[in-house]
Amino acid sequence: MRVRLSALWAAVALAAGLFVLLGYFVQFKAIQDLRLTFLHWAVLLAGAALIVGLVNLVSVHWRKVGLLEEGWIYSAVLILALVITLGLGLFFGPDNAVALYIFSNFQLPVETSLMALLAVSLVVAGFRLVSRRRDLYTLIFLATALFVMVGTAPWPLPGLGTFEVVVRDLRAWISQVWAAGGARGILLGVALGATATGLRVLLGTERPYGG
Amino acid sequence: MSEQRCPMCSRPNPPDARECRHCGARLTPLDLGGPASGSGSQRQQTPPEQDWLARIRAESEAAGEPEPESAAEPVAGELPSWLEEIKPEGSPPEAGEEAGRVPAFKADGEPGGTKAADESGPPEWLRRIRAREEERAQDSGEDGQDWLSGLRGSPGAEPELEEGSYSPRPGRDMAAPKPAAPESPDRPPERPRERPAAVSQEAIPSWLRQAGGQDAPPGPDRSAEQLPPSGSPPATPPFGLPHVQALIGEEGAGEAPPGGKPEGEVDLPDWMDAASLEGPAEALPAAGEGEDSRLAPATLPSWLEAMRPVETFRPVVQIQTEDDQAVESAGPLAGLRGVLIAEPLVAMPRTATVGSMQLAVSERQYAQAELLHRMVEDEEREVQASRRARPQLNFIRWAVAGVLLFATALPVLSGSPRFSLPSLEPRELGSLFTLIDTLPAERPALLVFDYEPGYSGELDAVGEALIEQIMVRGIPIATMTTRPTGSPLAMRVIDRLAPLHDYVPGEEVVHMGYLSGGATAVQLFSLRPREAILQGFDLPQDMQEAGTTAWDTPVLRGVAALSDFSLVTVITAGTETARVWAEQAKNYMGQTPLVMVLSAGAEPMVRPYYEAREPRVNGILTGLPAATAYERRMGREGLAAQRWNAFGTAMLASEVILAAGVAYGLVQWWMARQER
Amino acid sequence: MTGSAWQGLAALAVFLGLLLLFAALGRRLPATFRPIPAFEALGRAIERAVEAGQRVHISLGTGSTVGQESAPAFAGLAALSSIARTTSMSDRPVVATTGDAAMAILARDTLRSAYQSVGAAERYEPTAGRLLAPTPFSYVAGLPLVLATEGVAVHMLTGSFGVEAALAADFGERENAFVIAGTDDVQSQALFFATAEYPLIGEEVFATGAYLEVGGLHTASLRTQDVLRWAIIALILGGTLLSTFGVLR
Repeated sequence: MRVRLSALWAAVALAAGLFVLLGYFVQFKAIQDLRLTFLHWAVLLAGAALIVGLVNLVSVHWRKVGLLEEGWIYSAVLILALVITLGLGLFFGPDNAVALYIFSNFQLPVETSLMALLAVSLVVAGFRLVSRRRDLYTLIFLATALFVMVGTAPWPLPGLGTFEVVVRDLRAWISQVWAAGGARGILLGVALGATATGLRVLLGTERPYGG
Repeated sequence: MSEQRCPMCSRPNPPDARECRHCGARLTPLDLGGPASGSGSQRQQTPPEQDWLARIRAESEAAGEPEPESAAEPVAGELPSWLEEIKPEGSPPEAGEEAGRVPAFKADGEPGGTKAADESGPPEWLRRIRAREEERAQDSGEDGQDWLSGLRGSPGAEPELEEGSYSPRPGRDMAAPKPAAPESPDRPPERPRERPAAVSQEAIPSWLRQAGGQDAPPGPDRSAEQLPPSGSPPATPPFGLPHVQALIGEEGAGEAPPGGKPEGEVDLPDWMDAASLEGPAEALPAAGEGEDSRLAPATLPSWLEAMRPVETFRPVVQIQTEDDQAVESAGPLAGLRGVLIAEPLVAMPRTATVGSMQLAVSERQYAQAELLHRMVEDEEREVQASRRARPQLNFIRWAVAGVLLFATALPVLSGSPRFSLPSLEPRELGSLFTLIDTLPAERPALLVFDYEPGYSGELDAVGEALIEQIMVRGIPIATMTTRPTGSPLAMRVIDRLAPLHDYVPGEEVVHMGYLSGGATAVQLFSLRPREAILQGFDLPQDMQEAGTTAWDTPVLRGVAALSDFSLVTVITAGTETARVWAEQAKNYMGQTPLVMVLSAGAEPMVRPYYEAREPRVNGILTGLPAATAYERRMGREGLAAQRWNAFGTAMLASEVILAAGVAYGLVQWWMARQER
Repeated sequence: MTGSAWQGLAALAVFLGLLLLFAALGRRLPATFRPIPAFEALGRAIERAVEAGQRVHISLGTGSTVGQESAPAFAGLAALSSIARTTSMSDRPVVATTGDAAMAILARDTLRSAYQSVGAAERYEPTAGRLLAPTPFSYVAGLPLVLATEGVAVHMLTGSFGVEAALAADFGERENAFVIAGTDDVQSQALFFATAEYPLIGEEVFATGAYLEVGGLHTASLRTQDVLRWAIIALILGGTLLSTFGVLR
C-alpha cells in the first residue's frame, strides 16, 4: 500500500500543533516538556529557514547577473555586500568594528531615508486622497488625521493655553476612545480570523507546506 | 414524300412546312418576286424522289465514272477519291480548307471567275450539272440575272482572293464563334490578311472555292456567297431546301451538262451551279486578274445568312487535309486526326493571357497582412519585459518632499522657528516617573530594543529619556532584542548615554544580543532565560578572551528568571511585539513591572493593556511630545528636546499640505457638480 | 486546569464545532456574503494581466510564520494557490515575495502544489517564491526592482506589515499596477486606506480564501467568524449594560 507523503506531512503538522495547543491549557508535565521541545525545534527551524532563504536570495540575484537581466547591477551589488558582511560576521563576529561601521553608516541611513520617503509618500497620498476617492469615509479619515496631527504637534500659536488644552484633550479622547475602540474591534475580528486559519491548518485542510 | 430537314437544327419537318417546328427557322425562303423565287417554287414543287447524292452517283455511273467511295472510311492520311478529285493539287494545306470532309457537291472552279487550283478541272458530273442548268436558264428565257444578283452592288466585281489562309493557332479559343456578317466592318485581329476593302463583296466560301480548285480566302467577306449567275436555272436543293441561286456571276454560268436534265437529276441551288463551282484552269487567270465578272460578289441578306447551316459557315476555319491535320498525341483521342487538340489548350494549364498571376492587393490589405504576419511571429517569440516608460516628473511629490525637507532643516540650520516645549504632560507620565524612581537599584533592568533602524529617529529620542532616568538611579542595564538589527541599535543608544553616567560596559551594562525565533523565542526566554540566550554581544575584550558569557557578568549574575529583573522595558514601534510581550511574557514576570516605550502610532493598541482593570502593562511612554515632557520633568535636555523644533515645523508643513489637498479635492468635486 | 484554561478550551471547541457544522451544511445552505469591491476587481485585474502577458505579484508580508502575524500570510498563501492555478499557463506566472525565510519556503511549496494540481509541474520555478530581504524596510527597498523589471500588473499585499506597507503600496501605484492590500495590523490598514487602490479593512484579508473560492472550508470559516462576531457583540453589549446597572462588577 502506497502511503501518500502528503498525508504523512499533514499528520506530523497536526500532531505538533495539537501538542503545542494543549500545552497552553493542560498543566501536564509531559505535554509541557513536549511543547517546549517543539518550540525549541521551531526556533532552530526558523534559523535554518533563514539560511535557506538567503540561498534562495543569492540564487535569484545570481541568475539575474548571469543573464544580464534588467537591473543586474543592483543584484551584483547585493551579492557583493552579502558576501562581505557574511564574511566579516563569520570570521570576526557580528559585533566587530567593521560590521558595526557598515551598519551605522550604510544600513541605518538607508532605512532612515526610507522612513523619510514614507513620510513624503503619506503626505502626498493624503493630498490626493480626496481627489481619488470622494466619499464620506475619506473626509472623516482626513479630518481625523488633521485633528490628531494638530493635537500632537507643537502648538504654533503661543498664548492660547485654554484652546490648546481643549485641543489636546480632544485629540486624546479621539485617539484613546474612538480609535482605540475601533482598533480593538478590528483586533477581535483579526483574532477570529487567525483562529480560523490556525484551525484549518490543524485540521489539515490548509496545507501551506505543500501536498 | 420525304420530310424536309431544317437547315438550322437538322430535324425533320413536314414537306410543306414553311418554318421548322423545332427551332422556328424558315424552311422556305421569302418570295421576293425574283426569278429565284420562281426557281425556288419550282424546286419546291419538285420533291426529290431519291437522295440527291444517289442521283449524282447514278449520273456518274451513267457517265462511266467510278462511284465515289463514300462507303469506305477514309484512311488516315488518305482522302476519298471524290475529294481527291476536288482538291486541287499543290494547294497549301492551310489554304482555307474547312475541317472535315468536303461536301460532295463542291466542285472546283466556276465559270468565269474562280481560281482554278486544280488544273484537271471540275469532275464530269459537275460539268453535266452545270450544263443542264444553263440549258434550263436559256429555256426559261431568263436573262440569267437572278434576284440575288440584283442586290449586288457590283456584280462583275471580283472578290479579292486572299492568299494564304488562316490556320487555327494554338492557344486560341477554337470554339469562339466567328460571326461573319457581311456588313460587319470588324475583323478579328488575328486575321491580318483579311481583305480590307471588299466589304460589299463577299468571298466565295472556301469549300466552294476548293471545289473549283481555289483557295478560300478567310474573312467575313468570305461569308458572302457569290450570286448565282444570271439566268441559271434553279436547281432542286439536294436536301429539299428552297433554291437559292448560286452566288455566281452572270457570265459565270457553268457548262451545263449535256442532255439537259436527266431524270432524277439533282437540282442544285443556283449558288451551287457549275458557273460558281467550276474552276477551270483557264478561269483562274481571269480570277487572278481580279476582274472576272463571273464571280460577282454578292451580299447575302441577313435572313439568308441566318439560314446557312453552321457547318458551312466557317469563314475563318480552313479545312486541313488529313495529312496536314495534327495527330492527337494525348488523352483518349490519341491517334486520331482532325480532333480538337487537348494539349496545350485543355489538358495543360496555361497562363492567363489577360493580366498577370499577381493578386491585386491594396495598400490597406497589405498592411493588414503584414500585421497578421507580425502577430504570428510575436506569438512564437518570447517578449522580454520591456521597461515601462518612466512617468513624467511628479511635481506634487517633489514639491512636497522639498517643502518637508526645508521645514525639517530650517530649525536645525537657522535655529528658528522655535516652538515652546509642551506644558501639558500625559496623564500616565507621572506614574511612570514614579515607577522608575522607586525601582530597586540592586536588580538589573531589562531593555528590549525591538524596533527597526528606520524608527530610530523617533524611538531613540523617546527611549533615551527613560534610559537616562534609569542611569541616573544607577540601576544596571541589560539589553536584548528579537530583531537582527536590534543589537547595534542598542549599542548606539547605550554608548551615547553610558559615558554621561559612568556606566562601564560589562559592569553596569551588558548586551545579551539577538534572540531569534520571534514570538516563540519570547516564550522560551520568558520560561528559561538562561537557555534562550547563551552568548552576549559586544562584551569587553577581556571577557571575550576569558570566554565569559553575558550571564556571568556582574549585571546578570543573580538573574535566573524573568522575574529577577527589576524592570522590563520594551522599546518597539510594532503593536504585535508589544502585545506578545504583554500577553506572553507578563505571565512569567511576577511583580516585575512591564513598561512600553512606543511610537505614537502604536499607542491606541497598547493603551488598553495599560488601562485595563488588571493591567498587563504598567507604564507607557508614547511619542516625542511625551518624551519631551519626560525630559523636562527630569530637568535635562535630551534628543527629544533637540528635535522638537524640527518636529514642529515638519508637522506644521504636513498639516498645511493635507488641508490644501482636502480643499483642492472639495473644489474639484464642487466644480464637477456644477458642470453636471 | 485553571478556569481560564477551561474557558479557552470551551471557546476553541465552539469554534471548531461551528466550523465543521458550516462545512457540512455548505452546499445545502449556501452562504451569501456582502460584496467586497476589492475582490471583484481583483478577478478582472488578473484576467487582464494574463491576457496582456503581465504578471501577478503577491507579497506575503514581513511577518514570521509563528504568532498571529502569520495568519494574514496564510490567507495570502491560499490566494497564491488559487491565483497560481489560474495563471499557470500565462506567459508570466505569478511571483510571491516575502520578508521571512520560512514564509518563502511555504510560498514555494504552495506554488509547486498548485502547478502539480493543474498538471503544469514543469512550469514551476523555485525562484517564483523568493525571499527579498530579511528585514521589513530592506524588503520594501527591493520591491521597486521586482515591480519594474518583471512586468507586474497586479500587486497584491496580503500578510503582516508594519508602516513600511505604505511604501510597498505606493510603489505599486507608481507602476500603475492594480494594488490590493490587506493586513492584520490596524496601523498599517490605515496607511493602506490612504495609499492602496483597494484596501482590505479589518478582517477582510481573512476572507480572501472565501471570496476567491479556494475551498469549502474557507467559506465555512468566514461564516463561523460572522456568527462568533455577533456573539461577541452581544456579549460586549450585554456586559456593558450589566456593568452599567451594577449587576456585574
